[in-house]
Amino acid sequence: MKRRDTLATTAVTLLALAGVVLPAGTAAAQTARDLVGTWMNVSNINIRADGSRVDTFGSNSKGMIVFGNDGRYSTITLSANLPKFASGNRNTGTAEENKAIVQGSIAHFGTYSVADKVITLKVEGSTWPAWTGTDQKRPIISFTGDDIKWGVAASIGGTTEVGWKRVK
Amino acid sequence: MNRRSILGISAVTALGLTVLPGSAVAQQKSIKEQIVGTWTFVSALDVHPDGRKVDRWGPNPKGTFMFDGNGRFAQFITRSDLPKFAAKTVDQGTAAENKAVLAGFVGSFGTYTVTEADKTIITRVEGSVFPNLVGVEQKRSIVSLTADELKYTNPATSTGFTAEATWRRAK
Repeated sequence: MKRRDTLATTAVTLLALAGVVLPAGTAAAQTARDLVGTWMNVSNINIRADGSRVDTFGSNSKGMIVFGNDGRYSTITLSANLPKFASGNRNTGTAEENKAIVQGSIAHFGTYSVADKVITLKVEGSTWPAWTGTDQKRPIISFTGDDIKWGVAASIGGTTEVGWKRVK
Repeated sequence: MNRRSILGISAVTALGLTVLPGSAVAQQKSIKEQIVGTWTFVSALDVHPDGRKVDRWGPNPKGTFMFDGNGRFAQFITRSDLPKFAAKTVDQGTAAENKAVLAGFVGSFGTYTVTEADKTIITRVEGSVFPNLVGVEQKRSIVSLTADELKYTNPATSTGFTAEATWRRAK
């Protein structure tokens, strides 16, 4: 066997071993490609300064995030039972309606990248305008290919752990 | 015929065979195949009953319309002048701040289908910051569609008008 063949065989063997050794489920998300697709929100746990934990959007909340293969993302999460506008026109919500929706939802979009187990969202627009034009860091807490959880410095204060499941 | 000529002809023939089926396929692409991906917002004009066209998005608006290959969509548009809240947290917004956000931002997600015959995109909203849209089917009639640009009319927007919208393929 020539030296080159031997090297190639060794490389293939190493790759195969790596594949076996790294269980598919526990690989950390290393690149944006690992995230591409649509994910549904499964949890939003806000951890306050005193350690107490609160379900930010309550039970039966609904949310999704899309990571495009073109580097763009968009996301909305909504509490259950947000009021419909009695006027039928979103320009003319009552103060109560507007308040319930702004406080019971978060939506934003822009571009994203992944490095060192941190997702960076460059926010182009948001219902929480403080984020617009900023880089939002989302440290990845866990990733299994179909489930991901990351941390957020939350718009309601404290830190929120947000969990998602990939849509098949 | 010398060897170089034969090679040249072979190359041209091979290219021809390769290119022709490709371009034929491109021409026959369904609307759905053509819209899958991400589009960025260019403009949307509300068409009032008297024919006036009003830009309610102001200068430098942003937006994204994503269609995935599995039939899911997400759409967002925002004015660029939404107020940053004076308070540090979202639950402390004033009535004016909350109102400005919801008047200046649309965001919805759900599923979509394309009716190829009459060139319409039908979205079914599962969640929206305008909750009246949840469960509603919205039909958008495609005016023109190229590789880089999508134009459609929306006969029933969340402000009660017809809208003419233009989006550009995200690069």
